[in-house]
Amino acid sequence: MKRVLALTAAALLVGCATQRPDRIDNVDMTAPPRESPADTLRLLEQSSFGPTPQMVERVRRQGFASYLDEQFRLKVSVMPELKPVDNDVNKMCEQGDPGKLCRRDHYSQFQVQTRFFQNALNQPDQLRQRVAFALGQIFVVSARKNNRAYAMSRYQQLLLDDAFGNYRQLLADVTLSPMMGQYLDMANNEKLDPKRGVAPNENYAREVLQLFSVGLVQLNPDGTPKRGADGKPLPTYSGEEIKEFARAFTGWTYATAPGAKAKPRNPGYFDARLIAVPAGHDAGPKTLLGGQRIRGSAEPQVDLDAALDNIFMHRNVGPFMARRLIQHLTTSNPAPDYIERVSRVFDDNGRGVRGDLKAVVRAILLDPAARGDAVANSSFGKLREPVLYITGVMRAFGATSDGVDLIGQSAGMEENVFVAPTVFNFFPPDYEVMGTGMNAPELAIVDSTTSLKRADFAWRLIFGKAVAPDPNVPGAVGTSLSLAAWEPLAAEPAVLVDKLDALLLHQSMPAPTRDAVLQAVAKVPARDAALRVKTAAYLMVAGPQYQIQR
Amino acid sequence: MIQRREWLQQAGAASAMLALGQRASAQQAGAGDYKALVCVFLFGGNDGNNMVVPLGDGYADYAKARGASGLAIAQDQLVALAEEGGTARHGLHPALRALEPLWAKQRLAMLFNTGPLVEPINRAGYLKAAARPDNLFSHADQQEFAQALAGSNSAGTSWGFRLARESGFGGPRLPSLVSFSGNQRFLQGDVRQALVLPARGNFGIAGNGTDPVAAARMVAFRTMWAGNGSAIGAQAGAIVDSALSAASFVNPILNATSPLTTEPFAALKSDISQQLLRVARLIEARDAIGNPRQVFFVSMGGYDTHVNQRADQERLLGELGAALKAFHDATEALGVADRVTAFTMSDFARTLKVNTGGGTDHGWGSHHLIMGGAVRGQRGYGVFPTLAAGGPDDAGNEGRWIPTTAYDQYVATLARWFGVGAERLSEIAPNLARFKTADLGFMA
Repeated sequence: MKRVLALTAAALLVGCATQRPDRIDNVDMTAPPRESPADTLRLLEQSSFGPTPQMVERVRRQGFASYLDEQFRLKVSVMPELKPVDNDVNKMCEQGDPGKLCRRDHYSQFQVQTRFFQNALNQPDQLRQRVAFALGQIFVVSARKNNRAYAMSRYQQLLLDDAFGNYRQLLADVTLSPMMGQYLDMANNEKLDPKRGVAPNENYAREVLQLFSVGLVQLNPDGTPKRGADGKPLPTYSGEEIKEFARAFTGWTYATAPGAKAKPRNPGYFDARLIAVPAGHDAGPKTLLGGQRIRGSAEPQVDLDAALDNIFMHRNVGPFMARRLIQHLTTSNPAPDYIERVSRVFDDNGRGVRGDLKAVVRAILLDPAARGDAVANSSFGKLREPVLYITGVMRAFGATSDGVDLIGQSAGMEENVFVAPTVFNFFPPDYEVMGTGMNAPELAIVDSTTSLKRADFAWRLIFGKAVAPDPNVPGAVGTSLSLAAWEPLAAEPAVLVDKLDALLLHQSMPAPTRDAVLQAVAKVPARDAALRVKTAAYLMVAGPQYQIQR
Repeated sequence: MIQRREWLQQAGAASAMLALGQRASAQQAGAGDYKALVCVFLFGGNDGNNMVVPLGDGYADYAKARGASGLAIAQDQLVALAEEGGTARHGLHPALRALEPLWAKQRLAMLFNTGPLVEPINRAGYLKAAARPDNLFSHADQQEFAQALAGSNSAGTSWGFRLARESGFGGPRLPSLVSFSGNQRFLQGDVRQALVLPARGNFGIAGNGTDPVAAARMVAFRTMWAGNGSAIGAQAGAIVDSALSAASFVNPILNATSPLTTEPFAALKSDISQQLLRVARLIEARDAIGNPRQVFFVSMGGYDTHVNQRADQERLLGELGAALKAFHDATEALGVADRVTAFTMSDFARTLKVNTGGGTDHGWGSHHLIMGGAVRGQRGYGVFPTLAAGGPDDAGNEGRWIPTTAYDQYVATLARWFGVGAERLSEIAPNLARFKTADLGFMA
C-alpha cells in the first residue's frame, strides 16, 4: 500500500501542467540548417502533437535522423499511477454530491484524459506519445465498457512503454492486459462445457485477427490484396480458424486482487496481467492460420504463445501494420511502394529482427514518400483528427492547458479519447472520400455537426475568455492563450498573415485563401490590433489548409 | 468494357431525369403527401434470438439451447404477442413490453430471420460456398451491407441516399436525409450532403454575428472552405456549407418545446430517446421544411453482447422500447402516425449457442420490428428459423441463421410504401431481382 501511495504522489508531480519538461540534449543552434523549414514543420506534424517554433529550429539544425534517435531515447511519459478501486462504484464513493470527485477521479476517464493532454502538450517524448496514440487506435479498448480510470491508465502506459519495442511483445502484453481482457473477453473465456451448452467466446479471437494483426484478406508485401481466379480478394481465415483461436485463448482470468480469495473466474482486477487457469483451458489440438497444426497443451501459456507466434509470423502483419501506422502518422493514401518499403522493415529491421516497431516508425517518417516539399501534392497528407487538431493549434501558439477543457472539446468532435464507440475505433481506416476512391479515415467523423464544432474550438480558444482553473483539480491551470506577441504585426496585415502562414501552413497558403483572410482582417480597424490578430489566427486554423495536414 | 461504361452512363442520365420528374410531382403533391421513414440501427448485432422467442412447442428448442446457460428467458416472462385472429406463437423480450399496446393496435409487425443476402441460399448451398455477402460475421462489413445495399451500379452510395434521391434529396431548407447519430454509411452518396444533427444542444457556429467585422470573417471562412481543391477539402467544404446553410433555420426546430412532441418523451433520458424526440420535432415542422419525403437515421450502440448479455440486452431493449413507444405517441399526437414508419436494422443476430461468458457471438439473419400506422401490424412476416444448432437454418453448428428473407426485400417493401415505383426498386435494393418477392406485405 505504501508503495502505491508514494507512486501516486510522484505521479501527481509529473502530471502537473507547469512541470518543466525532461531535459533534452543541447543542440548547436548556430549550426547551419540542414533541412527546409517546410519539411521540418511537416516532420514534426507527423511525429509529434504539433510543431512548436522552438522545436522547428532545433530539428532543422540537428537533422531528421538525429532528431528521431533523440526521441527514441527520451524518458517515457507517465500516465497517472492510480490505485485500484472496487468494481462497484458505490462501495468506493459516497452517493450524490459528496462522492462526485471520487466518481470523476476513479470511475471516469477524467484523470487519464487530462494527463494525456498534459503530456501531449508538454512532455518531450512526443514521438513515443504519438505512436502510442496511434497504437491505441489500432489495439482499441474503450472506457465505454470499463470506466475505471486505473484500468485505462495502466493500458495506456503499456502502449507508451511498448511503442518502440517489438510488435510480438506488444501483442502479448495487449492480449494479457486486463483492460483488453475485459474489453474483448479474453478474461474468463473457458473451454466448451457440454453440460451448460456453452462454447468458448470468439470475441478476442475474431478481433485480434481482423483488427490487430492480419486483417480479413491476404496481402502482398505492398498492401494490395491477393486475388483468386475469380478476381475476389482471398480471405485470410474463415470461421473455423476463429473457433480454433477461441479455443487456444481459453483458460485465463483476472489476477486475484490483494486480500481476495482466488477463484477460477476472478472478478475484474486491472492492476496486473491475466493469470492462467489450466482447468478452464481447452488442451486439444488446434489448426491455426495457414493450416499450422499445434498439438495443444494443458498449459494456457503454451497454447497462447503458439497462437501469437502463428499470428506474428503471418506474412500479412507487415503490410497490415505498415498501412495502419502510415495512415496514423503521415498520409491516408500511401502508395504501394511506400507500404512495401515499410513492411520489409517490419519483416527485417536490417539485423534479422522481425517486428521492430522503432525501425518501422523510422522507416515511415524518413521514407522519400513522406519527405521533401514535393510530397505536398493533392493526394498526400491526412485530415487532422480532433485530438491532433486541438494539440496542434495549442502547441503552435504556445497555449496553456491542464487538459480539463480539452476533454469536452475533443468529445464534441467525436473523438472522446479512450472512449471509442467500438473496437473499430472512432473512424475506419478505409473510409473513402465520396466518389474518389481515396481513403480519408479521419473524414468519417466530419459531419455537419462536428465540422462546426471544430471551428468552434478555434473560436473558443482564440476569441473566448480563458478557462479558469477548476478549484477541484490539484495543480489546475485552466486553458488560455495569449496572442499579444503577435500584435505588433497587426499594422501590416500582409506581414501578419505571412508569418502565420509560415508557422502553420509551411508557407503553402493559396492566393485566394490569403486574399480572403486579408480582406477579413482589413475590416478590423487598425487600432484594434488584438482583434486583427485573432481574426487572422482564427481563420488560418479554422480553414481547410490547416485542418488537412500535408 | 466500353459497352458497360456506356450503359452505366446512360443509366445514370436516365436516373437523373427520373429523379427530376419525381421531384416535380412530389412538390406538386404538397404537404398532404408527407411520408417519413426512420431507420433505427442497433449497432453491435442485436440478439434476435432473445428479442423474439417462440412460444408453445417452439419454446422447447429455445430452452434446450439456452436454458442450461441461464440465458433463456422464462416462457411466462415473455410478452406474448397474439396474431390477428389467432394465438400467440411468439413472445417479445420483456424489456420491450412498452410496445405491447402497439401490437394490439396493429401498429407493430415482426419480420423474421432477415439479413444480408446476395441471392437465396440454404444450408447446403452455404456449405458448398454459394454466393454470399463478403466477410459475414464481421461488424464493419455487415453494417456496411445493411446500410449500403451495394450493387454493381450503386457507385459507393448507400440505400438511404438512393431512397432520398428518389424524391430529389429535399428542398432548399433541409436535405431529405438526416441523421441524429453522426456520419454513417447510410448517408453516403454523391456531393450532396445529408445533414447530421446533434441529439442534444445547439446546432450552429460560434461568432456568427451581424456586425461588419464578424460578417467579413464569416465570408472569409466560407470562401476558404468553398475554394479548397483537395479531395478531402472538397468533401469537408461541402459539409461545412450544408451545415451553415441549414443552421439558423433548423436550430429553432430542434429546440422547439411543443407539448405534442415533448410530452411523450418527458420521462426519458436515453440517447435514443433524445434522437427520436428531435426526429419528431422535424416531423412536426414538416410544412415549414417543405420536403414531402424525409428519411431519418438514429441508432444505439452496445448490442455486441459477447458477455453478460442478460443484463446488457435488457437495459438496451428497455431504452429502445420506451423510446419507440414515445416516438409513436408523438406521431399520433401530430396526426401523422400513418405517415411515419420506424424500423430496426442491425449488424447481424447472434449465435443461438451461448458462450462461456454468458453471452453470444456473431450471427447472421435476425428478427426485426416495424412500427407505424401504415404497418399491417399484429403479424409476423417471413419464416421463423428452426432453433437448432447444426439444424437446417444454421450456417454452422452454433446457430447462425442463414436468412430466409433478404435485406433487399425488407428495404424494397419500405421503399414501395414510400412511393418508389416498382421499376425503380432495384435502384434502392440492387439484389432484389434475385428474390421471389419484392413486397413482403407488411406495409399497407
